[in-house]
Amino acid sequence: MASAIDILQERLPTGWRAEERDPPNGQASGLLVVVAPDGRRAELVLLRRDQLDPRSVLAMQVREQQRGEALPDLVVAPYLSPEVRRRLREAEIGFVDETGNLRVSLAEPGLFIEASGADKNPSPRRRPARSLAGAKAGRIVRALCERREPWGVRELAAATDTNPGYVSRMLAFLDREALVERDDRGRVTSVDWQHLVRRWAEAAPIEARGRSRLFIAPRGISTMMGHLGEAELQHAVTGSFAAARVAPVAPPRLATIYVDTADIAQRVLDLRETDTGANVLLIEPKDASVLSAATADEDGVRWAPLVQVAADLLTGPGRSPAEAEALMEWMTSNEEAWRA
Amino acid sequence: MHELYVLARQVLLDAIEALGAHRDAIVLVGAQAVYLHVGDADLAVAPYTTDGDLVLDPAVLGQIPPLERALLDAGFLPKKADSVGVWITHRESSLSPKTEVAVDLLVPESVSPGKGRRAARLAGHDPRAARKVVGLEGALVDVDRMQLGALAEGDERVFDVQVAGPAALLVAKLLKIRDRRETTRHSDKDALDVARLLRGVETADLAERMRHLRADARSATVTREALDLLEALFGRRAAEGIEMAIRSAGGMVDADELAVSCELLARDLLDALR
Repeated sequence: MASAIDILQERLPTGWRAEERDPPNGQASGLLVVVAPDGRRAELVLLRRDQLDPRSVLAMQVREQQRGEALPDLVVAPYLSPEVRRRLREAEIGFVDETGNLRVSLAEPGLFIEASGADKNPSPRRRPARSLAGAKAGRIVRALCERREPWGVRELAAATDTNPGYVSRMLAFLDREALVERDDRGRVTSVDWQHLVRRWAEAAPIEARGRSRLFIAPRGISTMMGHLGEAELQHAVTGSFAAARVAPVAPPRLATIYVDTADIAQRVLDLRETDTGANVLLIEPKDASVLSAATADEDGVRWAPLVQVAADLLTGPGRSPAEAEALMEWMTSNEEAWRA
Repeated sequence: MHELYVLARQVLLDAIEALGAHRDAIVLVGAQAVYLHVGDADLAVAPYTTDGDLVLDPAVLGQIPPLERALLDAGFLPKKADSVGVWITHRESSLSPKTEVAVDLLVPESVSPGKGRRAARLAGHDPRAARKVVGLEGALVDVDRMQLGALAEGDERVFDVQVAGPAALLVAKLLKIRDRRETTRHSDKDALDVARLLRGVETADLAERMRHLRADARSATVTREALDLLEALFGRRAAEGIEMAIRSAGGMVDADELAVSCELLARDLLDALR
């Protein structure tokens, strides 16, 4: 496989060059000299790593702020995960890996290159990162996001119907990914819920949450929602309708509803299965806790928790991602309304 | 609520008040009647125009006072010298200090004494006071009584009025679409009213009322014609009536959703009546 620096050189515009220099005396980091066609040049401080996790990026930023340690200009590694790249981008640190992920931004001489390589480590050397895709992981994510109070491992396991061993491994993973902070006793003291929700949505997109079927409510979705509250039906409304209650973007056109049994819901709500013109998406969830976690309003309509709604919209169709952003913005400014 | 709705309701009440002696012969039809039954029917489209449409039943209508006398006294005027059944008045609104609002007096063709082209020629009244119209016969058979109140603040009027039922309105709208098909007159909004009625009324209720209309000699013929039209204009998602409704909704509603819902509900009704 080509070295990361080779990849960067290939991606440079015509007439540009890049050469690696040994570190100056007494310094640990190498330099990359980038030369423009007109001879102007920039020296980039390199940081070479065999692997880099999000926690390390955060640590670099903390050291910069607290001790004035300079950030590197360019991180070079065999592979950089999407989360690491996101954090490097936020810290305005350039990067390149051997799979072709690349971002270099120079003010003088002006240069900007960004390219995508692999999103999965092609040669994972250590135990792969724990997945957030499963039902148990989903319950843990929701619990972590919804509470500001510190969580202990056993308490979290009990609250999410999982076991302490699993929770402990999951928290270690989330810690490495810099999605949670823990104290000496291993208790979760703070949660980066915005990033955690995004990671969860990527790992468990809405189509993976259960069996989905499209229907039309021929008399319109608002009419159908009116019946939903009166119906004896286990359900949890998520998606655009749920988001629009706090952060409306545009009138919702698709009602996304978790139900225990779609066939029963179809009959009770007079829905017709259709490929065209659908206005209702019913999902039979793999994890029934989605249904029990819902809360009823005064009309009897049961709503999925906002964390669930945000994750579902992030990977949904059409303008769902925009609705997710509006919802997360509201959730950020109104934490007291939904985080205990 | 939109200012023009408030104004339209106010003028409608003025007309009903003016025709007070004939109250039992009057049935409200048209877009305002559709709105009273189904609201916006879960379609995000402004539901009605300012005109009020009133059907007169010649079998019940008395001769005193003459319609024209009652309306003139209440400030209504014929729209033009040669108008038939179109009465207008002017009110102040933000659009204009003299916003025109019309009330139409209509007589179902099969019960109209007038044999000419348009004038209803009701005995004892100006021959041009009311106009005969095809397809409104159902309004004499499928009728509900409703409390109709003002929408303007400070206007406390509430009248007990007869309002054409949803089946009668569906028949009237379908025949109106047919009659205007050959002309260039715009009737897309009537197709959207058909969609509203199908969406806003339970199929079992609508079917029961339709059976009633089919069984009454006054409305049997138009009802049979209307059901054939429902099949032809709304029975398939690409049918002409459905396309008209989509045009009228003007992008406020998902076109596929409206098409599929109209087709399903029209089929449900037709199946229920077989």
